[in-house]
Amino acid sequence: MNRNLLLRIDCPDTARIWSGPGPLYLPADGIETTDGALYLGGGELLENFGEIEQLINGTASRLDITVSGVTAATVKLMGETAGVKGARVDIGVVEFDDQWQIQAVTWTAQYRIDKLTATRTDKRTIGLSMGSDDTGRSSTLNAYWTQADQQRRSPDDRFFDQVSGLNAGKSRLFGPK
Amino acid sequence: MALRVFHPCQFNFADQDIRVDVTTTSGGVSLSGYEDVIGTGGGGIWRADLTNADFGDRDDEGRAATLAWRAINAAMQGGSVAVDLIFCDALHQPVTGSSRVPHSDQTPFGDDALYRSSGASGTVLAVVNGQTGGNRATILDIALTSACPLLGGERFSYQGANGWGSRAAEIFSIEPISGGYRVAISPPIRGGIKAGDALDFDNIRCQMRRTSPASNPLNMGAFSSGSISFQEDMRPPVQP
Repeated sequence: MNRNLLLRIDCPDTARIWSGPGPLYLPADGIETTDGALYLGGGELLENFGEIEQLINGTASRLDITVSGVTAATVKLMGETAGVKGARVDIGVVEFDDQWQIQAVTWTAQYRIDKLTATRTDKRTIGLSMGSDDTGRSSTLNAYWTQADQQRRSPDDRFFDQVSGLNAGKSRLFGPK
Repeated sequence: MALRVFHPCQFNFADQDIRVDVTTTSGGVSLSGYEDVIGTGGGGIWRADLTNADFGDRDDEGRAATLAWRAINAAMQGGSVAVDLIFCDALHQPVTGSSRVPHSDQTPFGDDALYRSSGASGTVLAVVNGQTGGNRATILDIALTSACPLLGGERFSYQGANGWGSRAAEIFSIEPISGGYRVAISPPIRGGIKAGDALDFDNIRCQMRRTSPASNPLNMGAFSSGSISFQEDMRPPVQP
């Protein structure tokens, strides 16, 4: 089985990178609207591709992607900084057969870029920091209704008695203890 | 300026390891000890490690080799400039290699040179798979006129379309068809290829760039040696 990652940044001049070497033309689907869109080979660029985590209980790690190098692909990313903030990012997996021909494309996650960093020290790198659509750097976590909240509104109601024992992956009966 | 050529034969490397580097990642080991492997290299890239060059003695030839080494290393500018690396491996190609013959009356040319075999002549008959313009094709129908039949394991170079320049591929499976062979190759075609394109089985070359600092110690102030590593230059060509 052969598989590689796809990265599509929907900025004004769409940036398309895949994690293998050389150019790759991708067929159109629900996400990639252009048939035969050219994905630049990022096999020599992509340095860091964090694990994708699902949003559970209002928290999910952010995803940071780092690319390095001085190629046209990197320059293209640098030139698009104006439209990059807030741009939609789709991350997918392309599966190849034994002859390295495309078998299937699966888009696995959708993010939104909120920070772009560039460093030019001994190594020229660009970092893209992104979060899922529901997260932001300014918003607080969704809050639980706690028993104390409910007692303030209705002192004799015991419906939220067991909220403090709630945890992801556990089930609790509602109602008085 | 035209691309420079790095010719390993010029430096007499003792070890020459030129290969397609394929990256895989483990899919994990199951309870029964079975490990799944997933290819993640996108088909692989060429790498070359050339070590222990012998630059000859304290004579004109040795001096010229050392100077050539210095010049080409300076030209590569720390690896940022690509060169065409010649594979220098005629023994494992379908050519007659070093066989040379004199005239029919057994006399050589005026400078003592002999006729050399014309080598192998390969052409693409059809591109069997791949994408637009033959990009990423891995199966080709080819016609080949050569002294030896194809066995598999041979390499050839081609001109990758869209500015990808000289690229090499290794044949790993062969099927005879009428008028030639159907071959499976690795790595996938860079840029593109089409029917009628020439395949070079004589002087296999690939656009690569240096990855290791080139050492060039001088022993006793005269005898020098060198080692160098290359990887395929995968930077997208700048479109005019």
